[in-house]
Amino acid sequence: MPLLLFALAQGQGQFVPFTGGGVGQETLPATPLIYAAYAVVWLVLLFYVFTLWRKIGKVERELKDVAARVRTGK
Amino acid sequence: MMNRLVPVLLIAAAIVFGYAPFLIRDSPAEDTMGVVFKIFYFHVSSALTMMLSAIVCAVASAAYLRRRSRTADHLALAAAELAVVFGAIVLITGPLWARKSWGFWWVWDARVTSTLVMWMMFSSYLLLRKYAGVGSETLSAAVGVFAGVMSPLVYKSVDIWRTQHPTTNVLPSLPPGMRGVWLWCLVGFLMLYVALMALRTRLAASQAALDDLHLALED
Repeated sequence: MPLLLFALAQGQGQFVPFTGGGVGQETLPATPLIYAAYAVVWLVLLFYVFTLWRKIGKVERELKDVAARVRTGK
Repeated sequence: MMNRLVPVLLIAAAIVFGYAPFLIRDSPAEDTMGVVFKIFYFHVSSALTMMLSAIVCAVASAAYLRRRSRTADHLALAAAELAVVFGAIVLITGPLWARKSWGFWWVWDARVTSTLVMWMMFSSYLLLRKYAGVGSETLSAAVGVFAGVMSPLVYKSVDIWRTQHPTTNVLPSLPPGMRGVWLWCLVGFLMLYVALMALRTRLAASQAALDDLHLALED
């Protein structure tokens, strides 16, 4: 019995397209999980691009400012 | 040249990401998992991008340890941060997929656990950079080498150990209706990765130049 459970626990080795009917009758609806997953992808990436853009702007402004101070010796 | 390429890559990636949901909607469901399988397209693409970033970080960290090159250090820092960003996507979308197809959010199998450990190692790299003070570049480079070396192990873990997670065989055996959609998403992730690497490396270089100028001002 434990050997059987061990064999069942092995990961899937190939994905096969579904051709039959009844996907819409699944007990746990998949759609909210799919939407949540894609929302996470978009939110994480947009947030990262936005923060990166802001940081670059801030550092490069400061860099110009400090470089000007170094040149004038203040 | 890279500065001119970044907006092009960002726009191209936005187009690919914008069109991807329509391709995914029209792609077939999977026989065993059903519709939830469609998370695969972004989950696997971000996982491969994370693994690529881990390898880039390891190579750049090793180059830094050997030659003390600042460019290598900036590349390593950018790659480590992106490994954390794409890793976070993998670690959030994975459980959403698992909840439906396996019946639970998390399982401590080889692939899932090794991915979490690698992500924690890259997070440690970033914490070291932020809080370790003088010499943190060398310390974090050592962490970067070990964290990056984990990447091939994470990839092959599903073939080495028996796991709940699908094996690496699923990618070469993808049917045409699924393969095209996955490649579309992967190209989008890779274009975004290159653009973000260029931007993050530029930020690291600007920060280093700013630190140098502050030191010059103090002297």
